[in-house]
Amino acid sequence: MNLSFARLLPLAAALALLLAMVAPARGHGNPEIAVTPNPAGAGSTVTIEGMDFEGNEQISLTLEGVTGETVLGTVLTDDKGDFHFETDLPASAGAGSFRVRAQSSDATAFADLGVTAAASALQAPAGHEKSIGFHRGGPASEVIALSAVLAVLAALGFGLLLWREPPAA
Amino acid sequence: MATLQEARKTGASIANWIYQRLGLQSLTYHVPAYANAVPYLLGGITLFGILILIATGIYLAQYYHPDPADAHASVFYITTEARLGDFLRSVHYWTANIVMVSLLLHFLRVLIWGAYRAPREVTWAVGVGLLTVMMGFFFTGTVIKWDQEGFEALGHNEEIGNLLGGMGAWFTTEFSRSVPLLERVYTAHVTILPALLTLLVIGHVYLIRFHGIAPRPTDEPAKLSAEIHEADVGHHARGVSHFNIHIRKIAAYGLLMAAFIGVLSLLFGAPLGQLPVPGEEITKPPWMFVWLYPFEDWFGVKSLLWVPIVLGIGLLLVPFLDRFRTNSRRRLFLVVGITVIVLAAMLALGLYGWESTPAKHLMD
Repeated sequence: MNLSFARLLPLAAALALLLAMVAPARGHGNPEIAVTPNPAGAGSTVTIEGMDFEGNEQISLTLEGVTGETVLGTVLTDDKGDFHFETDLPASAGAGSFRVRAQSSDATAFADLGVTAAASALQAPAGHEKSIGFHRGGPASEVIALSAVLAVLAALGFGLLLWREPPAA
Repeated sequence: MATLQEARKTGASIANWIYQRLGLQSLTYHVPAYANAVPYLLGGITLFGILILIATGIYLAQYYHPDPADAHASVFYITTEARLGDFLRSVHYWTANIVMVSLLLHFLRVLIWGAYRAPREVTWAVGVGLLTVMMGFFFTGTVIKWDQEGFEALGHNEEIGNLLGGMGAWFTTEFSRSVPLLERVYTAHVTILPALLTLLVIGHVYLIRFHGIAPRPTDEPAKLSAEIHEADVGHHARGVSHFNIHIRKIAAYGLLMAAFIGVLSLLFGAPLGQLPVPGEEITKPPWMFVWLYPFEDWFGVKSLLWVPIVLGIGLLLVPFLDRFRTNSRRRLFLVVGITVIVLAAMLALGLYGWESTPAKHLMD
């Protein structure tokens, strides 16, 4: 097969274009993060190490819990796409399983993190482990309807309490 | 005016029809009038609370998934997504706590009044069984929410099962490899314990009906036979009431309690901790078990087995240890004195447990 330069040129250009598109991903693989120590106490300092992100890219770090999430901060990767970040975990975080999320503009990495009770929480009253912060109450219409039901229950209770038997005929 | 009278007449005839068809006149038997005072209604109020627990429990069971991988998420779903889930879970939580308070007050009333004396020893024993079952409900309910507190509670459950050897096999993972222990604890919460509770409640109510409501502390010696009860009712000069009025009073206070629980639930949601971290021991038991915590500190997990067993046997023996045949002043001082000392000791132990730093008690 006679492959002339004129024929190879478009093929080479197409291949170069393709490689250009996939090169960053191939070059950095899957970004990963690691958190130490793990588990860590609420309020204590942890180190988050990241690798295989894009070089010189801003990464936002978030602590995800069942309650919602807390932004831990942002960090800039070095030329190789790695980063090193130290932060204090929120002292109010309850004991349990959390996840740290590192997010760049085009990639996300996760690491599981066990959080134990803070030193202050260890002094907390029995059974008073931090509870998750629900959106209490729900819609106003629901709260009003429930309040009305409760008022009816209370009225029925008082009514029964004050009820007097009619005198026997 | 005529229309109003006709409406009343129609209402009365409907009520009469229901009354006769359901045989409700059988509920109008005599009870002493003092039985309508709050201390004598506490058992009934507790039962009313149990009905609330059953109703809200049925709702929660529609969303709860007792698999270790999903249990916590399903409780979270109930609280955040399910229609009225947060409110009804909170009602379940607060009712469980308030029912335990009313049950303990009922228990103290019976103890101090000496209402366990002959011929009511078995009624008392069944009551101790009911108290045990209700504590079982509270414990299993704590476990199945599957947060750190529940996870650690289950760890204690397993360790106690191991201490019991063959008798405690049910409490361990090894008992069934096909069903996770959490799922079996859930089964206990929704089938085994309710079945036991139903049987014991039927027995308790039957015995109360048979022996009648116990006399007041100031009354004459407890009557030794059920036959005397009818005469006993007539004996109380302060008056005679009827059981349907007693039931109405229970319903009245029960409804007020339900309204109070509803307000509590609107204001304060039931807590749910984070997903558990295996190997960590950072929580303490719920309030009714916290007095046991120091024993666990001093003697290890085995104390959680032996202290309740000794206490339970002691309670069962109370009617036989009480040699007083009357509620004399001497007896009252003695019983109240012992009760106060025991309660003060439990309070002190509870405060110690409350304040102490959580320690590891379980075997790794």
